[in-house]
Amino acid sequence: MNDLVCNLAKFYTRLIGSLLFLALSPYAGAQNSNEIRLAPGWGQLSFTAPKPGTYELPPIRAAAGGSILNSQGQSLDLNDLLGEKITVLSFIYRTCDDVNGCPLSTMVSYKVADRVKKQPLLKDNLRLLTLSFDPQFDTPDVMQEWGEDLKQSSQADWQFLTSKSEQEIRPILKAYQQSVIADDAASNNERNTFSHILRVYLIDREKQIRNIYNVSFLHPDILVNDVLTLIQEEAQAEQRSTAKANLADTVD
Amino acid sequence: MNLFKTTGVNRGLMQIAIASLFFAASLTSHADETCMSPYMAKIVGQEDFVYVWTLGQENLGDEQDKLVTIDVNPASPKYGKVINSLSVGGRNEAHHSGFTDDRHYLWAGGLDSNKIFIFDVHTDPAKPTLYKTIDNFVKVSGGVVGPHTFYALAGKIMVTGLSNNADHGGRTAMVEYSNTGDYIATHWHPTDQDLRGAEKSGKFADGYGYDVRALPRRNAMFTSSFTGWTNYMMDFGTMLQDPEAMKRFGNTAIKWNLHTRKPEKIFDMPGAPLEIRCAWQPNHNYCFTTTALTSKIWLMYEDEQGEWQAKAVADIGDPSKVPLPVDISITSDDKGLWVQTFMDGKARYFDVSDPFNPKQTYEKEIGSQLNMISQSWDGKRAYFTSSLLNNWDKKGDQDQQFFKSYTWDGSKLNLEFEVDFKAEKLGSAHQMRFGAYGLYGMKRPYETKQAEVNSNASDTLLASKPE
Repeated sequence: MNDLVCNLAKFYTRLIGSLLFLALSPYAGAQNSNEIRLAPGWGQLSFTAPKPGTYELPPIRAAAGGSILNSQGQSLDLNDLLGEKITVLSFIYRTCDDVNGCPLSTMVSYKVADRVKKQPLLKDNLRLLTLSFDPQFDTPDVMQEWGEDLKQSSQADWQFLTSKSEQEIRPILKAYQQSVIADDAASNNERNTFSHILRVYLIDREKQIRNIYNVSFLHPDILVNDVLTLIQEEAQAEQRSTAKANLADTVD
Repeated sequence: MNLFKTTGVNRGLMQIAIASLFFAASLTSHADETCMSPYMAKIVGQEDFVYVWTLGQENLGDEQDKLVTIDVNPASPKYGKVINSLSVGGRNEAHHSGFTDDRHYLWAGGLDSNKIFIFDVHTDPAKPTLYKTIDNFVKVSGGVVGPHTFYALAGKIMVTGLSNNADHGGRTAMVEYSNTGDYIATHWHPTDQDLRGAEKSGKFADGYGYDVRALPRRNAMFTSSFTGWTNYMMDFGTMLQDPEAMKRFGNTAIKWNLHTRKPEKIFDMPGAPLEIRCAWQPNHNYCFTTTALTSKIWLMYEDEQGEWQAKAVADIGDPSKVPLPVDISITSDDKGLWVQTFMDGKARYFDVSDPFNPKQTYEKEIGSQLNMISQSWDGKRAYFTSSLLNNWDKKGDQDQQFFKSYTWDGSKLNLEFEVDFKAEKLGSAHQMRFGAYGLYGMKRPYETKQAEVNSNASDTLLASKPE
């Protein structure tokens, strides 16, 4: 746990740096003075998450693939990482400084990864994918280092991904309707900034999107219960299939 | 909110982080029409356009339903003008519309044809195009009729129905789609025959539907109830003289579990509760609605025990004269509620600082008839339109069809400009939604003065904020 705290501390150190950077930037004077409101995912859920298996998550549509790089720099298709396990896919860029954007998404993934220790069922059935849409700065090496910082002692299957170029990530973003707008004015030689809607996708083993989370509803309690709901659904389908086969054998 | 307990992170470091967050707070603001989904991308600053979903009228222009785009930015050389009109072919009983959460698409429905028109508003926000038409709504939904409210969820749209294809009465459902129009599920409203696990707290479980709103922080979703196809397509005067027809109005509102989509509690709310508007402030766990036939403001609220309740909290005008309250709009600080009354054409402002004791503090006649309002997040601009339903709008000279733009100085409405939809041969003006170049990373095609902070394109950000 100490390692986890240490890694999370590093993460926050970067976050603080990012926030201070933003606070000192020329944007500061151009904005209105409204207090930021932390997303529910940062704290305790203000209601009890519905119990796994007490609700349904109807398929929304098929998940898409596309050309990506893993943190070892190997080319692969996103589609190849889907299907083996229930997957939670997050789109981020590493230097994002909107506290309710990528840092929230990463924090939730971090918390979910931490729960793998307490809920072994998740270890064999859940894969977390964190895919950057900033290939210029989020190179495989950078993603590798960042990922190791975050997941060092976690037993979760958490993979950090990027792409070769903007041309390769764009079709994936479009397929997932993940809106990302590069902020040209704020980009420089050290970092890019993007305006984007926070989206996290829950994808089942049939490669169907089963839920989509955004800033108002992304929370580890909800996410984990949704994953467990899909696991229960699979178990029930398996039981039905076995019963049907047994019945067929009996009739034969 | 206890971050430390749940994360186990270094406490001192977190305190610095939180302090930094609040230091950074001045860098971010969120603004929007105040009646939209908290799931939706927000506009900061001055809106550039108002999209008006418009009913075609016989013997007027091309007679078709259309999406009318009006330039509402005072800095624009086209300010106050209709800059685009996109007809969709035929009349469908055009009614309400709503954006997807990324505001890339505007969904608009036809209550009679059951068609849903999905407009692309992000490629060129000044000139929307028709992206897709859903023409199998009744079939895929299992018999739902009258697509009414289009409410953004994360990557999805919740569409409320008004009726069904079995008896064209008021029993109906919500229908869930992906942002690109893939059908996901149908959620029928509970009835006495099938409560679907909901608690019936009063006399009614009519299964009717109308509007939907959500409070994600409380995992709560609310629906109201109107009337079925047979009534909403009937001549208004004829219906008023038909005692049996007048019995076929909704008398309920429902609290749902937002995440599971299951109904949990049915409230009695006699007289057709229509639009629902939920409070924005983080500790304000309540929503308002108004009943069309009984002319009351209702409050749905979470009590100290965490139980959801409903209570009539104020009259609107003289209920005995049936002023017919229609659209409502809550201010972003939750202190004010605009209530429009169709019959006398008045906009009424209620002080709802105490949500249990609303007080009307202002009223103004906007026209001979009045339905919809959209206000800016800062409450300084309010736009009004006239049409309710094709067969319910007034006749002859009383059938004024307009879009009117006002500024609100806190004590009175000041008319800035108006568009006569009959003179422009457009039709009957109904639902309004705001658009802006900056949502899509675009610069305005005209110069704006830096002093006009709210008119600067860079002030409009694409960002979804927590509710």
